[in-house]
Amino acid sequence: MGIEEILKLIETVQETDIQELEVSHGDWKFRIARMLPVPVQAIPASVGTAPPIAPQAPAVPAAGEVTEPAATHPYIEVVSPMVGTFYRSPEPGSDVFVNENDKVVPGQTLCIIEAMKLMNPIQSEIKGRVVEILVENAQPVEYGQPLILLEPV
Amino acid sequence: MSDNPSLIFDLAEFRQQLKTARLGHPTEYFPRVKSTSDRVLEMARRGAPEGTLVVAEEQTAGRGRQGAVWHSPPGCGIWASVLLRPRNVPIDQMPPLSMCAAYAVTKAIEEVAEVSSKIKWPNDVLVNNRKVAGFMIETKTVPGVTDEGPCVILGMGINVNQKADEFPPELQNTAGSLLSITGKSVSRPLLLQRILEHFEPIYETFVNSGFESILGEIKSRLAWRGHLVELSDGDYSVQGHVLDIENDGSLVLDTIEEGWVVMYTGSLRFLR
Repeated sequence: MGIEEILKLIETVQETDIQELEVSHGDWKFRIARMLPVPVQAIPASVGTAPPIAPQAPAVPAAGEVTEPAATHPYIEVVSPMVGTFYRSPEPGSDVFVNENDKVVPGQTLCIIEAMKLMNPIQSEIKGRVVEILVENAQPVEYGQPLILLEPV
Repeated sequence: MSDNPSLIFDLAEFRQQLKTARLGHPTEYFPRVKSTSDRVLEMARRGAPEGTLVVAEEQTAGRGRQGAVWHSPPGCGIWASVLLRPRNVPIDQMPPLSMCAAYAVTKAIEEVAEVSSKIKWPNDVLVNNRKVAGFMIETKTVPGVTDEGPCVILGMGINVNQKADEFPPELQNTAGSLLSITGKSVSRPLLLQRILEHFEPIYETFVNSGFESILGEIKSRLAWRGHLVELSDGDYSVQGHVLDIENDGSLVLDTIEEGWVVMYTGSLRFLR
């Protein structure tokens, strides 16, 4: 596969909603991924400058809620799809969606991320076990921030 | 409260007058439900189309944010939820949809009740600094139904014809209805009809062109701009002056301790 073909592929990807593309071709293997800006939550800007603007992003997963962590452990990180507040239960005082060591199935609600009064339930995409809940209830979370560690079963 | 038969929501009039392409088609009416949003979710699971509307005379467990109960007695308010299926809107761009709904409600209130109204970030509607409307939006994935994107259920509570003394004591200082504020009662079917008719093109713009296309109009109706407010979210709270809304719907506050901050969640309280 030549460099021209790769450039053409990149162009094609840019014209679509595709966030990430992995291509294997003979001995070649490469990945094209978008970098989206990460909004900030309650990050002070210095007084008198322009209004705060989202900083350039590190490469965080774009649209998916689940990503393979870079670390060597076999766990799956469930990450926040948006900036907001992390809730472990549907309302204060009610049972939490999941506890550590709970078994989960695909489609099961793990937590809620709220932003601007929009309640966005985060569901498990896999069958597995909750290894660790990484965020305290009612805490602000960033775009792409790991929320929960799952162990695939 | 609902002893006057003329206060019963006139569904026939509503259906006959509604001039929308999708929103409110179909409309289901219930004298009493726990939550109109739960009802819409049930219908979504059975494959209900975008625009499906549930209106209730009374909600026994109308929900606000994180378990807050929306006081929704019979005969005097609009308690309704509508099913939306915004396609191709990434989930992180969905939150300001609530502000778009608030914007539609301000337009309808100005027209029907002839009183000016403001949007309190992120999604309340104020008349004379009193809350007359609020929203709650939930996204839901429904297996087999939402392959093209999540269901979004927009629940709204609008205080229309309550008298001032009919609000619970804890809401007496902050809530109001169009009647309690203007002294005039308002036709609920007419108001809901105009809300949907205003919201439909706003929603289409939001889906097709993004929130930025509506932001200018929303900013011009932003409540408490330049005023000192307290924003609280769980244990966190900060005081600052309301500056602006960003392109993604976040609120910019000018605070004393932290300078300019950009907020994505929380509730505002007016200070001065």
